[in-house]
Amino acid sequence: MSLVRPAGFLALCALFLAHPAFARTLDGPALLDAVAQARSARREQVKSLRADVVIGLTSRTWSGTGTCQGRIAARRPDSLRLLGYAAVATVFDATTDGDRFWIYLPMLQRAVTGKAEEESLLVALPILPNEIVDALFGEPYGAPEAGLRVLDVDGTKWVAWTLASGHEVRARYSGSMLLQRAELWAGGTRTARLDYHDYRKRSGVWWPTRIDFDWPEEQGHLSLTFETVRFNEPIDDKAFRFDAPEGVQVVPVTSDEAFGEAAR
Amino acid sequence: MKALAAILLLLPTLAFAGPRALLDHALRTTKDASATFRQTRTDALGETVTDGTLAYRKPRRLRLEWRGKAGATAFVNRDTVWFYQPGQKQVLKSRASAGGAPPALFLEESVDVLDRAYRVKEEGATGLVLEPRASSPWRRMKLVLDAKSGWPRSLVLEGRGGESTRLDFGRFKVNAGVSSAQLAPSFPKGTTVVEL
Repeated sequence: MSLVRPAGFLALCALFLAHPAFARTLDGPALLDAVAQARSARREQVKSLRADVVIGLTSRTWSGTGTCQGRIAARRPDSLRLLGYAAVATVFDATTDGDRFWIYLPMLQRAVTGKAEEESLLVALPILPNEIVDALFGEPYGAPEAGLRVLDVDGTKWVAWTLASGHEVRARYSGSMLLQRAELWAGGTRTARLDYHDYRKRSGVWWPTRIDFDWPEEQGHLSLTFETVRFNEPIDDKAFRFDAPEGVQVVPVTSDEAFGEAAR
Repeated sequence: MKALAAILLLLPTLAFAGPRALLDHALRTTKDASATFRQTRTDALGETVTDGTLAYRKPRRLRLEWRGKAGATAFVNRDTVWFYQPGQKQVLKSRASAGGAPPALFLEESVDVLDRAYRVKEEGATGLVLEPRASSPWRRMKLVLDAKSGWPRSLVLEGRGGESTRLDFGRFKVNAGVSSAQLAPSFPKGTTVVEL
């Protein structure tokens, strides 16, 4: 017995072949409006999050790929705590309040601190803590202030804007206004890329299963794969402050130190 | 019959002798052991629970396996540890003593051996507290022993950063046989071994 009668089968084919309603193509002002509304709704919907994640890190500076389990807490506009652990041991504990960062490396019994923008000196990736927060909240590389425009790249519509630094951000959305990819461009060179994979609805919020951060020039990669995610729970300010454990040396990172020097 | 009587006589003696003697007897009379565990990690951001298994064979050969989405297996052989992450097809190989945890947890040949690296203090009738003698990222390890078998019911590892990892063990199967193959670090073809 056929489970799907011919008429039903044709209707199913039509559903698969046609552009589904959520993938409608917007252009021009309609697309910019839709993106602005989606961002505004996201700001209202997600103000903070806590999640269990799998953290993956790759950099040409290191041998192999670092992967560990982790926990993340983030709060708008720029507070972040990221803890990595493997087996029974803590691998790292990174904290930022937007102004300063601290990375505690228990195995070395050291903590490294500096201004938030200096973190890249330590991790050998051009990663800024607030960029992780921006990426988590769907505002890649910072919220657009002005100059929003639509780009047509090989038939695909992108939304672009220019940052105060002169960099251009290009973002591609699904028809349902979920961010799929964002790129950071300096002149004609793409310097960073963000990919949002496999959105699932969690506690009423469409949330990506994985976010990939890529830096082509540095051959660097950071991935956050989400297991459990909780939104808008109160997070104590203490979660975004680092208090050095007794006996742990806190070392400032300085601009003439290459990766890891401060941690040694 | 005489042996049974001797054991029956010995058990209360050990319990009376305190937790140190209790664990020492368990370690000395064990060739191999295995158990399941539930791991609860508590840190600044809350709790994470993982289930796993432990297999041990004297001297200091250990396999710890964590299940779940980010499953992993640690093999310890004397002072070498292999940390295998199937999801990454990667093994990190390092000195066990260079890690952020006691190399073989509490699984040494006797409490005298533990004494070399840790200050071992008794706490109550079944508790032991182990503090590392050398500088370490962890502050102390607390064991709560089963009053009959001497094997831990729970282990809490306290880190210097305020985080803790608690292992709640199921019943230990002792001297029931743990194969060499189970403890031998072996990985699927294509796995990358990174020496740290």
